[in-house]
Amino acid sequence: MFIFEIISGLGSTVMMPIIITVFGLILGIGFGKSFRAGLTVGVGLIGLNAVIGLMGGALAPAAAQLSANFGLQLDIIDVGWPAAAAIAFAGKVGTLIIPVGIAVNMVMIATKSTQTINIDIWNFWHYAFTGGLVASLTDNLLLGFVAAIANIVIVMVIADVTAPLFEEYNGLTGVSIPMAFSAAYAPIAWVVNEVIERIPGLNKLDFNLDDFQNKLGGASILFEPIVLGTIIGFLVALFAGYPIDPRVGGTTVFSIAMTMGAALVLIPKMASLLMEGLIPIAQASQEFVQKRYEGKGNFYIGLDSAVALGHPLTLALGIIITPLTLLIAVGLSKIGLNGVLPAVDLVVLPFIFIFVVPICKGNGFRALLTGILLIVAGLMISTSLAPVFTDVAIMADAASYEGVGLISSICDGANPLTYILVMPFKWIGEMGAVVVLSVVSLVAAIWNRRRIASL
Amino acid sequence: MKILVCCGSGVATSTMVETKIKQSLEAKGKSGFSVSHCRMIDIEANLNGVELLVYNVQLQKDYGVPTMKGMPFLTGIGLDKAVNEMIEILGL
Repeated sequence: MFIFEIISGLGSTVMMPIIITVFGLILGIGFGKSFRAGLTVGVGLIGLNAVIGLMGGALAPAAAQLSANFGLQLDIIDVGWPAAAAIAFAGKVGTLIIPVGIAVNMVMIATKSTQTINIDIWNFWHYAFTGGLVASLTDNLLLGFVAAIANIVIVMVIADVTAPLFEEYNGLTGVSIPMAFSAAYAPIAWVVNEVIERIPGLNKLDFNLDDFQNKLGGASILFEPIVLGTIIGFLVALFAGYPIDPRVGGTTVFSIAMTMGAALVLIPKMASLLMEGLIPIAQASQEFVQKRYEGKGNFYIGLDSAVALGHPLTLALGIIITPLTLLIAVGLSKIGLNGVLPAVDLVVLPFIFIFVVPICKGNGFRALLTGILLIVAGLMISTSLAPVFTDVAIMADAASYEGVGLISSICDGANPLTYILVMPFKWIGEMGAVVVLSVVSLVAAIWNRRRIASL
Repeated sequence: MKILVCCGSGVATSTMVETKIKQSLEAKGKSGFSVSHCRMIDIEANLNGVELLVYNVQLQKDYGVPTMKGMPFLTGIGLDKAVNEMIEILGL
């Protein structure tokens, strides 16, 4: 479409502010506020692209050298969730995902197939991410929306079903979590829990991580992004053979270390700015939706999974899985199953455990086992999706992503639900995929409708 | 009058709550306060001068400052009550 061409031609850092401004106007928040929101989003995007470029420029050659030295293939750079979010929102599916997401929610509420009013507008990007991958893979925008909508429906159902668990384990009342990244791990956690439950002996195994954070004490500084990034940068550069002595010439180990530390701090800060820009839009959308359903029945408020992050087990496992993820990444790479170097997204690992912990009934052993399985599968998924991810990134912002090499992320790049929504388009062709996705969504919605009716 | 909002990621929910707190207090004509946000894990490092800690995740320990739930600022439910409570705690 002509308009899309012009807007995409301007590049996402100009396009997104325009779209955000328009949305603001449509939502009635006035030109001043809308324009400011749009500009803030643009600034966040520019900052984000700048830092990712900086990180990629430093890390990519180091990772390539490291891989060459050790017979590994860790050259796919994990650019992290801020990049994934920016790329998702900047894509054509992302442009309309907010109104589409709200519309789908409203249809589901009208058909009584969900109990959730999803006000977590920022996290709509996860749905757009799935849609964006499909739109790129099939070169068909409509199919992208089909995938995004399927993603929404499935996640809304998972959110409804798991809400009571969050009340029990996290003390969250009246809340559900339709956050597509964390929720995707729910079915797998459920399967693992059910299987272990049935294995005598194993089903009694648990370990107590209640006091983990206190025991970790001073060592917890190692897991702060600023320190973690610096350490990873140092290790990668060291094993890549970069010089320690600055007199030798060339980029030193320390330089890469600082760049990585900076990246892991600055990238989320830019994402923060991006989100700040989106807040007036999110607030107005939230008010629109909530006013509509005020007093019209008992609904769950759909929130970001971050509200459930406080469970001590979730935090403890998030910390434990960090070094494990690096080890698994290297190990899998040695046997040719993984090409991703975890970097920026090491900080989102706790989000993988959000649903896992309540579903595994707070059992540390089961949750950790599930986590390890998810990382193994996730890295393979992330490797597999890297080419499409990179394509989508280049389409969204050629200036930043062209020539960096393959990129991926753990947040959504390694998302199993995203994977099984995207891959059918490759495995069984477009027609088949549309049928499968539609059937699955309809079945899920109808099942949920029946379940709600019988409550 | 420093208010610190914490959440899991230090990005998503805490940013929204921070904005809502600013808007709500300003709407009531209050000034002389500042709001910032951080991750739950970084609370200790950011406690300097903080008079109220607003939390979006379960807190693991007592940080020696008054605390308040951030949920009303996120969902809008019980917002008025929460804003009044905040004004009272801070003596604004």
